[in-house]
Amino acid sequence: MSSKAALFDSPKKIRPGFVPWLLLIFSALVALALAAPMLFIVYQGLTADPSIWQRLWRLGRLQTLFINTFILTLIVTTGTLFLGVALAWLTERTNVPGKRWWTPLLSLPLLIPGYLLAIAYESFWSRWGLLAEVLTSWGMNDIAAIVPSITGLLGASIVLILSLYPYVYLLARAALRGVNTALEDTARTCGLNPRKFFWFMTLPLIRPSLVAAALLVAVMTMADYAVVARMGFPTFTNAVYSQLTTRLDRSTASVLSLALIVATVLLIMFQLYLWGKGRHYYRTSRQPIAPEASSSRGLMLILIVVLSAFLLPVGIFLYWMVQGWLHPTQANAIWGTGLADLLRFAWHGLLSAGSAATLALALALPMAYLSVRYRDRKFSRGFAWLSQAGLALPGVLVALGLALVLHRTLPELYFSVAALVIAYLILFFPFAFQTLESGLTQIPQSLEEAARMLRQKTVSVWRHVTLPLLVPGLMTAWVFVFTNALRELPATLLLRPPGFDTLPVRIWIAAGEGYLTQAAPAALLLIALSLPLLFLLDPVRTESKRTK
Amino acid sequence: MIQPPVGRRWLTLVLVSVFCITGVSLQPAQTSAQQGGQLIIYSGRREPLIVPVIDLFKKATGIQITLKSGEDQALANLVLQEQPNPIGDVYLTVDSGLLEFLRIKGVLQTYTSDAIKKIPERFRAADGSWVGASGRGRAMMYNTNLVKPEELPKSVFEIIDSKWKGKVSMDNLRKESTLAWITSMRLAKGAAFTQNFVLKLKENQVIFLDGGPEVRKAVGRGQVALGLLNHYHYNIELRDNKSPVGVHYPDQGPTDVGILVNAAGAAIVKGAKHVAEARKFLDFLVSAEAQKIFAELNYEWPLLPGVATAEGVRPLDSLKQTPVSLDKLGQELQNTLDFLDAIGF
Amino acid sequence: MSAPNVILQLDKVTKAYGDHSANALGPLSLQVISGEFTVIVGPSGCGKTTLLRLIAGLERPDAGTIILNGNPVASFSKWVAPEERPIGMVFQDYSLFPHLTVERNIYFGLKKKNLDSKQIQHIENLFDLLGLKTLRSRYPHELSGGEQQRVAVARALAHQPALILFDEPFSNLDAHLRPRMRRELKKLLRELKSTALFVTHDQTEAIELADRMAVLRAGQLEQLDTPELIYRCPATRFVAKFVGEADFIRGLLQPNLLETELGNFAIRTSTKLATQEVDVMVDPRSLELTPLSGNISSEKQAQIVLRQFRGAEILYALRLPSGQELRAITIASRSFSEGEFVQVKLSSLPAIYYQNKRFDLV
Repeated sequence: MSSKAALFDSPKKIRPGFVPWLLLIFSALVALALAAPMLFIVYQGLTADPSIWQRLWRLGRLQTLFINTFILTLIVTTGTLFLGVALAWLTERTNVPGKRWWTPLLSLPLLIPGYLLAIAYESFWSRWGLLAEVLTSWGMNDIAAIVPSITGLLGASIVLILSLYPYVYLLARAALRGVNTALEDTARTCGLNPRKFFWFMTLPLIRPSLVAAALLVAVMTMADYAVVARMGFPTFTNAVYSQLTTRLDRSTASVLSLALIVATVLLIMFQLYLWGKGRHYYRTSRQPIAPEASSSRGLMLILIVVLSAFLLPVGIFLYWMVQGWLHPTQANAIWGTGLADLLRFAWHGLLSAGSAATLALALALPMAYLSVRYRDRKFSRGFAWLSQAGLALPGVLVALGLALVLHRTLPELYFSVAALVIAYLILFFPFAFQTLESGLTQIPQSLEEAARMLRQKTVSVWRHVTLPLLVPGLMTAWVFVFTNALRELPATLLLRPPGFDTLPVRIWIAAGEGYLTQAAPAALLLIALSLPLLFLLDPVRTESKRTK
Repeated sequence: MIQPPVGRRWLTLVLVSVFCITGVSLQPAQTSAQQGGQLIIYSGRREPLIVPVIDLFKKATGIQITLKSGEDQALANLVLQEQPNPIGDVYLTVDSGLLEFLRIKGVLQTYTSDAIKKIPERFRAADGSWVGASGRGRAMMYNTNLVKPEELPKSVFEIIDSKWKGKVSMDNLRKESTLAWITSMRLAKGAAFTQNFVLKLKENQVIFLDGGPEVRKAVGRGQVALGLLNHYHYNIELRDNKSPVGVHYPDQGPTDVGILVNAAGAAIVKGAKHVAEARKFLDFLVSAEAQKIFAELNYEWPLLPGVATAEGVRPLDSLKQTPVSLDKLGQELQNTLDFLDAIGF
Repeated sequence: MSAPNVILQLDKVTKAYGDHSANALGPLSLQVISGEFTVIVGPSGCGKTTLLRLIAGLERPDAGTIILNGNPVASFSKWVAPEERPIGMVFQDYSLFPHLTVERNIYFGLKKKNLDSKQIQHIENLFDLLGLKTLRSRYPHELSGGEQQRVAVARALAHQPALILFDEPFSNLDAHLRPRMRRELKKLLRELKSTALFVTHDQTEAIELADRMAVLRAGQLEQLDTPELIYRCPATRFVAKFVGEADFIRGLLQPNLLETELGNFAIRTSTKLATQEVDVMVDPRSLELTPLSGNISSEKQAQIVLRQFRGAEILYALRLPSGQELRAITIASRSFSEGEFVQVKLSSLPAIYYQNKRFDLV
């Protein structure tokens, strides 16, 4: 009995008597709807001809691809964790100069699609690339000759880390804000040296957010095809795609996708394991923390990241665009897109991505709430799994599944903007969910209980306490879904109504045939479009007024 | 995180969301049928290369066209999936192998007209399930600064010679055109020869790039001396970058295999709702007007005899072509994939 | 005098652990009298917070009944949600709403326009009483710990609850602030004629605050009495150890005699008993220490193993010849040094405990 005594005084997470039926049912419906294409793929995979399994098993190539994927995912996840946490620490807890500006700039890679970053990097870094060209034109042939080529595993890792670290960065930063700094101060007075202190004190406190971000990063790495194909580093998705494209064999593609689904589910279970044991000590108040002094190394890191993740690719696109103006060729007329059209396509993207983001929020919030506040209940996490298991599936496969379902059941929606929005929802729902879950864990349940003790019924509690405090999380979730949907390509190509092109589609049309100069304006517009959103993400300015 | 709410931003978010959803729901639905008929085309051929043809067709016939363009193979999957109630009437693709594949799966319907019969038999399905509209051949592009015309290999099989070590680039073997080429090699020269050749490619440090355009650019900037790709890339590189490049058609000798000529084509989907219009479209694709556009736009070979190629493009009939019919080729593609899997490539 | 008004009654309230392996709490029965301060005290893990949460309605009992103001709020057939109960609560970490000012925290849940002037007057009065007037527009993170606690109290009181619950209200304050805060809070609540239920693990706090004290151990109520009674007549050995500073030594209980190492005592018991071993409670302040004189037998000698100066008193840790250890607290005028042997005498008849329960003597 005494060993259980320690559990005793911890406020139990189960709310008394109130069985969250409504939340459960809603979550069940949402999870099933979102998982439908994935379930369909699973069904296809499981009912596939057994000879497929045999053939694949004998395929030696599969093992290599599997190992490649594993290594890449490991490297990218650790890389983004290190980078994201370091940057969050620098911008949140130190006095690094220009703090106000770095914070939005560091989130910018969210706006650049991975495939564009890969294209930019590949064309820049190589003995025959842009950098070498520029160096040669300045007469520095020797240096030009030794410009390294960044391809293969190195290239894929670098591009993916630079592309994905913002997820870790943003979630870690939000978590650092919510941490009980009094705990930290106490530990500091106990004489823990700064490094140990960070490792043993701060990190565990922000662990849930890190775990959520890491999950997103890992799964996105597993699912990526465009970047690794460009960099010539074949991963598992390569096998899926080749089955789909060269053999038009959805069955085999489905069988292979089962592996991706299993991997995702394992990751989610791992995430829950890492998350579940932690007790989270949050206090609503905090004494203002004296920021640590920053080192020049910190500033340098920030500069390098901003440069490589954003300024460099944008610079490259600008260069191409200017080249296109200065040396117009016939290709412009054929492969370029006029400004009026570009704006129209941008508009399409904004509409569909915006709708998807809002709907994702509406659907994810109840599920996230169920998952966080009713953690011990049987199904609360099950629905989360169901809706996220498809995260690693290639977009084209999910789109095909959705197309089939719509064609057979709701033909009016086939090739409608609604179908596109639904596809975005299915693909990017986990972003909303993870972010909201992370945000909700930072709102102590005792706040909601306090509100109940002040005569507020459940809805009123949510309205006056939970939601206002969740606003930053909601913003972040919205932006995550929006930016992903805005840049999405394979599902958009397949499901969009004729004429409803988006900017990524235009980029693909030109870039796929190698017309990078003609693709550049669309790419730049895509990036520019999402820039205003950063102000939604970063309330640094308001914050500094309140903290004394 | 715990900070005062950002009321203004909350409001912005809500407004933006409402706006987007309203905007989306107000999007016009599928275009309704108008007079003159309707046709829905799925095109794996990129829009800029097909829209001029479609526009001409629209003007000529008054038929309302709904063009859905996208990734070749994804659309092919869609065609398969839509049976038995297809939405797309015509499937247009860059890779005749896909057409043949769809034919084998039984999702195409046959159509042969006098216009179509004018296209050489080699470039269309024997039973009339599909027809090729424009041709592309497996040529060699070289950088004139690095290779003199005399040094060029007479046969494409010479690239596994040590003198070309690390100097040759080609597309990924599993990409459509290259896959077709390997298939033609297998059919013409046998499995053993092909296996040896393919394995030697790796040994000879052939650089595999992600797509024809990459190979063309690599040759253009002198990264490699020689590139194996579709013939029109030479003209494109000249037009856009004015690079020091030349084009070379190997294996033209009397005992050689010639170059493989593949075709981009179209087919009518089985159960299509607008069959009459679809047939008109196919006829239009092989008409002189459309053929001329294919020739001019992307430097491809018009398959209708008598239509001139673009300037700078060597006419097809002056070249020796690998004597294999495309539908046979298409049937063998799967086996080539198995073949590649088996040899571990 | 009228019968005391029972504002809260718990009847055999039980709450099991999540895995249903054992009871976390109960069956437990107690009463809270209106106008009184009741303090629930016990070591960590004894279930006191669970008890508080059950009363508040934040958790649901597995068995038993909770009756508030004569109305059942939790029973087999009825359940009243926490927001419907006229109970206020001050949380251990205060749980102030970080996105609201002090003023809006305190007025939370009350629309100003729906309040009549009397209620507004009452709340404004709270601002005064708790010294919060100058802090109205501050945010919680701008306040000190003590200020936050006062806001939390004001917030709970603003709703004029029939019963107000406090979950370890002083544990987050600096130690030197606590005595003052305790006094002030008690004074305030008395002025407002509130009924309060405190939960704490600090027995000094409990004794100071309580009109009545409930000592909890492993989910069971050991004793419910006034602090004085608990201190002087602990019902069980656990209560004695927990609340006071008692030590226990072995004793042998014979029909008319209690034998201990500190002396023998003549006793009378109500029933005829066989000889048995008992625990004898020794209050450190009831021991007399005298220097050794030559003719005292070695049996009653104790060695001082530790001497601790405590200002007005000195604490000695003694070891008896048998090896048992106990403490003695004497006034500072007499001093012994460590290692010295002294003579120990128990000045009065000690309390006797048999199997944890106090043994009643006639």
